[in-house]
Amino acid sequence: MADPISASSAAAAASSAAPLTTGTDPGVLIVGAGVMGLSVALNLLRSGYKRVALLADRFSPDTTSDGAGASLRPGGDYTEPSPARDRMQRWGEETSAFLFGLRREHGAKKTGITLASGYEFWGQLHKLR
Amino acid sequence: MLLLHPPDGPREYPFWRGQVFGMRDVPAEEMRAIGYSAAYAWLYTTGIVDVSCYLAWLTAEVQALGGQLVQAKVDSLTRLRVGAAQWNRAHASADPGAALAALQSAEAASDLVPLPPAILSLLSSRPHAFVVNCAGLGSKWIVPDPQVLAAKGCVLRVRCPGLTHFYTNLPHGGYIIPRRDDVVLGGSMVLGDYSTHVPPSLRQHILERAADIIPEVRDAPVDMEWAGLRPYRDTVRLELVRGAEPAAVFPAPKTFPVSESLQCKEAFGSLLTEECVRAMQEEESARLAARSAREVAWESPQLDSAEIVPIIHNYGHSGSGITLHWGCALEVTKIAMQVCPPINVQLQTGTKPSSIE
Repeated sequence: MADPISASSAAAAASSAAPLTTGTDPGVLIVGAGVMGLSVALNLLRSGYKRVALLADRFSPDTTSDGAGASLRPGGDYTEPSPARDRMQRWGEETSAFLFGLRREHGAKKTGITLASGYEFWGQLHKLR
Repeated sequence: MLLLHPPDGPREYPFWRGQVFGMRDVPAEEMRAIGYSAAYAWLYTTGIVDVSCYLAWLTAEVQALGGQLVQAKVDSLTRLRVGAAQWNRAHASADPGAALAALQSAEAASDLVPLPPAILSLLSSRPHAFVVNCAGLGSKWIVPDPQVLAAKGCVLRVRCPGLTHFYTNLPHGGYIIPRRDDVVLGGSMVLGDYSTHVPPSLRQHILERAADIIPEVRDAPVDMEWAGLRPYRDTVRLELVRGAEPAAVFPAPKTFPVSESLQCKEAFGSLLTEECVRAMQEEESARLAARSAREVAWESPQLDSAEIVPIIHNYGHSGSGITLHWGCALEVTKIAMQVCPPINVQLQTGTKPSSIE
């Protein structure tokens, strides 16, 4: 097993890369503290990163994310298959699975997650008399 | 991407059918029973998230694990990345104390726009392995990425207990979403509108479209109205960039098609005029032009990856942020592990930070 200290010195010496001091927890800077920044921070922290800082000019409840309804349903008209669409499908399914698990474990009140059924309309909506 | 949906509706279930449960067509008799007719409708079960509550939960978890929330406005990601690399070199030098002190003086004496003190304090306290950009709409200015546009949405939060279902895709982007303690009424989606007020005509429009479905909404007390700017982009940008931003990714600034904004103008009344759009385009070009020549030089493709800390971008989710966020966070973490794993992983696997190309 390689010694991380000497491996790092070799790396620093051999390459033109920005040197990182191994033996120290690598710092991470996250710009933005909405739903993206906070969830990235939590994932990194749970994966073992110890020095995670979020840099933001606004925090909840004043971020863009706070304005969302929100229902779990991707927007946009991705009618044609594409790699971008496949990624969105995967991300969405992972997100729903995670949030439902969170709700089961901690409850709706603490997490803000509920389940609901509802109607999505297409085309002109006419009220019937 | 369309803002107003085609009148005859979709023929097939959408690609995200697997993310929700029990999606089925709504037969005409059912719609009649509700009291409406539409070209087409789906009924499905999905998650509803009270985002402020959820973000409060996330924040508590992050802080419990030692994550820091720092109030600081980042004006340029390249500036931040170059600064971090300089401080990393000081931390790694033979005499870190002297190097750090020298860098402090250099920063103080510099004629460049300084990094905020809170950020300098972080950089001087430890080396940083990479940056993650979750700045949303801010990415437009700080990457900079002209492909990002504001897509303004307005909502009202009202008290109307007892609603059993959500209703979405009402005319002109409207929706009714019941949560635990309130109901959210939407909405709108106007590309290129950077204003943050709710026009009274739009507030009225939202209330009326919702009242068409749920008449009680007309008398429901309104807790608040909100205008938010979604970070619109044709596709989400989630990727690692080691050196300078690749110029090839960003073609000449996209001129905002005036005709799309006028389409919205017809839907929402005179909220957005041609003149208004032109003014926004001018402001956008002026802001990009105002960046210092030195900052632009930093963004040159010639910038060596040694002079700049890697960045993982995670922005441009438009109106699907909550819907996609955890999957994106998982993918960002996977990339992070390849750039520089945390210490416990480095020691277990004998890996070194992959800072070599």
